[in-house]
Amino acid sequence: MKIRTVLLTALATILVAGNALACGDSLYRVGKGVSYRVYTAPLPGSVLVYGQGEGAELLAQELARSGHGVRLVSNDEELQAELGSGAYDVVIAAYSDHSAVESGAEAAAGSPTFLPVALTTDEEAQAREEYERVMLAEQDEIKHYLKAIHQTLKQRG
Amino acid sequence: MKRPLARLAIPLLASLFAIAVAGAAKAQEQERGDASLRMEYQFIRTGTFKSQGEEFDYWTTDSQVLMLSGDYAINDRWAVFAGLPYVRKRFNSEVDWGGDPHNPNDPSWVDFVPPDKRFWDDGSYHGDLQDFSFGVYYSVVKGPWALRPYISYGLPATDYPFYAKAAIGRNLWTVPVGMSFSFVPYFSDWHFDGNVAYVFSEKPLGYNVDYWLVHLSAGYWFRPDLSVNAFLGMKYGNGVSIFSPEFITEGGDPNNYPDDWDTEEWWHHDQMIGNQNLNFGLGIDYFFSPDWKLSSTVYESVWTDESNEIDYAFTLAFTRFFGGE
Repeated sequence: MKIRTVLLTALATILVAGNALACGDSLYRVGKGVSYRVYTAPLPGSVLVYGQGEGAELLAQELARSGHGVRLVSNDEELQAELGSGAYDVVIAAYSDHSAVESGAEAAAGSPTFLPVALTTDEEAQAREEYERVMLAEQDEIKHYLKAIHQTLKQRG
Repeated sequence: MKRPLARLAIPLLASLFAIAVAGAAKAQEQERGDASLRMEYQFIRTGTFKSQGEEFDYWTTDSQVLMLSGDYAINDRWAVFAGLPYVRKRFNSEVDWGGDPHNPNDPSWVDFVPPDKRFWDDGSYHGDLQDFSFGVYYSVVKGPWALRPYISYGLPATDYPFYAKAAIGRNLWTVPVGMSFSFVPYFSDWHFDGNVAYVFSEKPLGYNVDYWLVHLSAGYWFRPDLSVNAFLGMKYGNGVSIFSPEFITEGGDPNNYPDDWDTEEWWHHDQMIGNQNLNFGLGIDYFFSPDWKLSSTVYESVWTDESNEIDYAFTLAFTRFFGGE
């Protein structure tokens, strides 16, 4: 909504202002407004986020806002139940939880791709030995998560 | 006990304390009832007039513009928009001899007598409603691209004088036909916008004064609610030069100004001259609530022909957004 309306407003402005000329007066050009920044997911997928606290909630909210279907679970029972449903393309959880995720994912139909989140650079290095894509909690922003999910979805076909 | 993703939040918090935007997954698309209202103030100081390498730098003008504009989405494809500026402008002589104010009461007007005797180059601000503009456009969104062809119609809202350096406009109707476009790369904080229009204009005394308007900008979101941008704006088109012989009486001497310039064409010269310019500026946009945005720009001319240079310009605008269905 914001992008559209900003463009429209700017249109009216440039068109009216462009005619505001007198004795060589220059084009009245006003600021081209932009929208509130919103990332979009070109390939919407089904994402399971496993974690507790505000960070996990915010991540889930932003992924959903970008267009992904997102489910947030906060305990192992829920995690295993959701993984067992086979309804997910990607699972995001802390790298330290990879055993729980992998065990549940193996049993799931379609086996979702695990996108681990490392909490330290040491953990990141360790995770990279096992996984193609690893997120680093203190460094990666929402756009990086979205890009990693997108690449994963493309890879999964 | 499972370890929480608490630290996952750290890098996200700065960018995720976001103002919720409904329907954000399709941010470039529109819904019926989406609307906005924008109030903008502009200040523009113009200086040297340039024409074919010649410069006239003995006057300046100050313009203040208060512009109200808005838009409304009829459905997910079509939208209407409109704008109405109030413009007040002042001629500033910078030389002792007066700086050549345009006065329709001058005794030099003999062969042609101006029908409008209003004198606006007296050094004071004079203002009026300028040109009311309204239009419609069609929205096409494809991936990160948004294309919006449009057509508009602008007409003078009042019969303001056009023979003055402090004239607030050309007093001509216009029909701009153009395309706006935006490109927001996936997973990026950059955004690129453009607007290209060909403006069909009423022909003063039969002269073609149609022109192109082009606006290009590149911006970067430092935060979800804060963006800065750099932009170029250009006007390029038809019209005559201020040195055109059309302005001189038949058999007259162009150096005998103003006595041999008392023609109907000279009376209309502000409508006939083909102003051309390229301006560069910087802008900032800040959302201080989901429905309110503050925008500001500064800019100046980088190239000018048959037109006054913009020495500096400043704008400040508030936009109120209204959600659709």
